[in-house]
Amino acid sequence: MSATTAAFDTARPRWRATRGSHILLAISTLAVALIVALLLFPGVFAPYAPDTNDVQHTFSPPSSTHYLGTDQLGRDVFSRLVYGARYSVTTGLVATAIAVVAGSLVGLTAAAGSRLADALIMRLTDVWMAFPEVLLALLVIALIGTGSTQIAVAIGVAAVPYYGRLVRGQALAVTKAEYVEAAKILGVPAWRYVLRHVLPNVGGPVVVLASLGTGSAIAAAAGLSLLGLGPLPPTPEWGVMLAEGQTYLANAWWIAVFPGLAIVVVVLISTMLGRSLQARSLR
Amino acid sequence: MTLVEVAGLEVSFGHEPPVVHDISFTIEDGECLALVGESGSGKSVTARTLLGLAGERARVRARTLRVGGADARNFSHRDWQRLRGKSVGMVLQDALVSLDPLRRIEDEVAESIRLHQRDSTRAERHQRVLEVLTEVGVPEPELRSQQYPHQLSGGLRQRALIASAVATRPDLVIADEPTTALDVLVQHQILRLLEEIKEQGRGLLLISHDLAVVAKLADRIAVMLDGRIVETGPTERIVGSPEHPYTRTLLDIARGRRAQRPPYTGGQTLLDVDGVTKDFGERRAVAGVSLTLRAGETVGLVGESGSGKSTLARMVMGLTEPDEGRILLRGQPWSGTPERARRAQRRHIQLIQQDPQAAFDPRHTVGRIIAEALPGQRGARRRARVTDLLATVGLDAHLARRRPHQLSGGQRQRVAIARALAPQPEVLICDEPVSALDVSVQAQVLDLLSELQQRLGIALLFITHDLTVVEQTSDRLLIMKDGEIVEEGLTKAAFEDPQHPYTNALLQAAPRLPGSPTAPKGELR
Repeated sequence: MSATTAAFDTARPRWRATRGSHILLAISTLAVALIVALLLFPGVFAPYAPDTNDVQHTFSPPSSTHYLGTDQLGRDVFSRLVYGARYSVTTGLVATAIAVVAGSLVGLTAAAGSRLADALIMRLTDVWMAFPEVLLALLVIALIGTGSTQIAVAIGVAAVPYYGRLVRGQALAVTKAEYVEAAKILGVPAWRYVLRHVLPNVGGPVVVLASLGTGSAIAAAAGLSLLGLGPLPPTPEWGVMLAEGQTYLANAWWIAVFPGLAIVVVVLISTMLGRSLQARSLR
Repeated sequence: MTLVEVAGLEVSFGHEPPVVHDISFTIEDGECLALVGESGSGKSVTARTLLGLAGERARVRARTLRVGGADARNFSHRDWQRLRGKSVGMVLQDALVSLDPLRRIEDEVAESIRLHQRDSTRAERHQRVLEVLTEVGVPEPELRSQQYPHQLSGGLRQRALIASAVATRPDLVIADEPTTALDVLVQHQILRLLEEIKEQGRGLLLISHDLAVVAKLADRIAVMLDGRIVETGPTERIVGSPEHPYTRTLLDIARGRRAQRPPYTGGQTLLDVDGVTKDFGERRAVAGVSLTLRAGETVGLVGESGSGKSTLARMVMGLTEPDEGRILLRGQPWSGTPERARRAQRRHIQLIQQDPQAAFDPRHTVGRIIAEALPGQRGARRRARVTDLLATVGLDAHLARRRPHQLSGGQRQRVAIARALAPQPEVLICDEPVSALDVSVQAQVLDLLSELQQRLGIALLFITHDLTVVEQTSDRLLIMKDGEIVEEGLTKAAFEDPQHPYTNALLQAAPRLPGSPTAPKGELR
């Protein structure tokens, strides 16, 4: 007969990818699909055109005819948000794409290059990273001017060192991995094992970082637009809407609050997607 | 005095079936009990249970569980803490990871004294640390106690770890695979040290996968299989007349009894290494090594860690260029040729690495891993060839859909062999091919390699630190030390009449059971 049950030890069980992370991934993938649909077919979702003024119905609060109310010119806030996704989300995506491509080039050059080139590039990225991202982006805008494209470039450039460092580290680890050596021993040509083993194994973490980064890039883009460095009114860009709305915050809160919420939701989705991808890759 | 009394111990995790099943044993003072079994047999869990470290989700049940004279069944967290380090000391396998890299040896050894003798002064503790370091045979204890783990050799680190386990003079010392990570000569010294600890009247629980290692030290042996003790008794009885078939298998493996190889008849020279040298900065890793390998021949290359054998293997594989000397493969220049020219020749020489898990792309399935070695073959033909190769190494075709981490260690090494065989090589270099595997799996993989060699007439270069592995597999033997070959000859001759003192030392330090093909001649102290 057993007499007792006891459990000891202080070590906590390690957190592992569970069913929860699958659900998270499913939800965030669905949300991303919805955003893509908004980008491609805004007309399907928006009941009104984004730039139709309606002087009869200015400052209407949210109702069944105007889900999120109307602004100072009587434009439907919901429709403007739907059409504005095209500017805000696209800017974030383009910025991230610029950062990933340039960062990968920087990282791969450092990993593949001579020891001197590696040291130079890494010290340069150190300096780069020492500046706050927004400050760097402002610097770039000061050089190339304002507008949607300029903002995307500015944010992308500011994020390059983060991707560069990640890619360099991954590339160094993977090229020295025994499985790459095993392919070499089998006589697999260099271009093929780079394509088959190195890039996919380097790419995984980059995808995770990029999906986390897209959210912050979108938020940064909206921030710069809010400061008036992006597209000009009446563009329904979310940052611009936020800037316009803040004047009327006391009387018509919905004009500014909903664009702000939209930014929060999109950043949240991109973070959720990134985290669930991360959990899967750690499994 | 009875130090440990366990009866009907059962340990399970969560709702899974128990990993330790109704086991019972006792340890008296001055006695050594060895728990012998392979990975997953439950021996480490049993040992950790005696320290209250089975794990948070562990469910421990026992009729009797007495440790250090007290009933440990209802021990609280604090009770266990009082017990650990004071009446029971634990020595783990790998001193490099078990010692805190940021703490000096003195702090590490003094920690348990500080915890259990709270009124001790700093000077007293310092004195005790020097004492215990001297006891475990650390030379220059004053100097060593002020150093960090990375400044110590593997053997010294293991001694320091043992010192920290015995610093508070515990009655019982638990040693979990204390020599598995060590070279043969160092292993021999550590086993002698553990023997001394036993002679001081302490109880010793020794855990190992290797019967030959424990046979000299243990008074009694308990053989574990799948969470149960299948056989237990005095060492002489277990080694002399084992009853359980599993014990017999383990003994046969430890004695190196495997199918006899037919004598080697000779063939054309396939690999010709001529005076190769390789320096890493100031250090000469390989110094003027020459060797030949002929068709159908097995050559064993034995050396301890740091002897340069893996660097030599990398040069032979064309992964590193020698600084001096040259290597010919099938009579053609191999070293010093551009990779473009070498690539077409690569299929003639293949490598089996120590850690097959690392040698596979984690994202690929077994089928894809093997298929990579089959360029130019597609579709059904390629699938058929993959199935063929899996069958050659004794694996079922359905494993082709699995990923490396879903296989057992033995299965992984078989997949590695299948991939190495895919391009139909003439030369196969095996760099520690079995040292990451359990003993019974080791035997299977070695048998497979030698069977394949006889069937396919491949030349094998067997690189290992383990003499028992080469004894049964190799026609010729090379012993490497500090980058040089110090002994070369037929395996049988080298074992019977070693020419170099180092070979002699290696042979005598190798743990052996009575009845092994080559028993040691004298005693090494």
